Amino acid sequence: MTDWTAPKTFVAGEVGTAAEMNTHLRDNTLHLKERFSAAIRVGATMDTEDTTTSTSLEAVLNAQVSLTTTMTSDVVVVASFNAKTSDHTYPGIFRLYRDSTALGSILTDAEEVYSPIALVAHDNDLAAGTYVYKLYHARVGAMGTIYTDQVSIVAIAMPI
Amino acid sequence: MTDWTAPKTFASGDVGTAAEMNTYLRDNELHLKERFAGSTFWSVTMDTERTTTSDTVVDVTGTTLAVTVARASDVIVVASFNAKTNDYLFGSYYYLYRDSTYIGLRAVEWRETYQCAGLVAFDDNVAAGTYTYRLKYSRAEAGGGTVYADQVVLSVLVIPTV
Repeated sequence: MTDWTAPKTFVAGEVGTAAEMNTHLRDNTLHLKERFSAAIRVGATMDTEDTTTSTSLEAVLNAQVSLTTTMTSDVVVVASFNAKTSDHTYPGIFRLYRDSTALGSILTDAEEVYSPIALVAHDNDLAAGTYVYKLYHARVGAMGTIYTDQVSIVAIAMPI
Repeated sequence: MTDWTAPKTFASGDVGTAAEMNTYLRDNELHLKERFAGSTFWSVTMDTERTTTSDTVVDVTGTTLAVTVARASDVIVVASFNAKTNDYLFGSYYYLYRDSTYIGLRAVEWRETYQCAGLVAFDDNVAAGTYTYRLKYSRAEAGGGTVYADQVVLSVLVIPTV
């Protein structure tokens, strides 16, 4: 990554040296260009019903998106999906993950017919690298099946 | 749109020519400026109850949003709204569209009281142009029931890809 240097103020009659041109023209424009290029957006959809009877959060099949960041970034993840349980006594819970790291908060749904749900999470100060953002689901209690369908997941990385 | 050119490394004694200054200073700065200007955010709100008895997808009146994309861009569309049906046997579907193109996936609601709903869609590498993003709805099952939408906020984020 190219560092930013506060631009020099030239005075009348001054001719920029090669070093100044490289610092203030080449490197500063490269810095700005690299930051633009490092602002990454990715999205994915999954439209096949997935179920779980697990009481531990597990990934919804194929409800994930891979994101490669080239600079330290803040990432915002948003998912919309439909969810239901087979028994309202035993609701479903839903959470966003980065790889195996839990993000944001847990939502609960106890409806026995599909309901529309949206989740958002802020993944702060993330080092450069490749990550997979996923939607997880699980059952609360001893019985019932949790259903998840029509998942749309979007991740936006903004360099800091 | 102004193209980007990898900046020259100046050597000792180099004096930038007019062509070099126009390429590496003027055009590259214009390129960056245009990318900043091309990153835009749009939003519309609609707080009047809307209904449909259509079995096919129709606009939720008042939730269309005309968006100008200045250069090829990724577009992220997010909507929050209240949703219900008056007959749980028939249910309701909600969709995001760019003009006549269905983007993202649909939300479904079977309950007869208003529920909170959200949709997100990623519209990849959209060419420069003017588009209308919109929330649409229909019955989930044909033949009966009325579908409701209210308190809609539709937001669109445009980020240039080049």
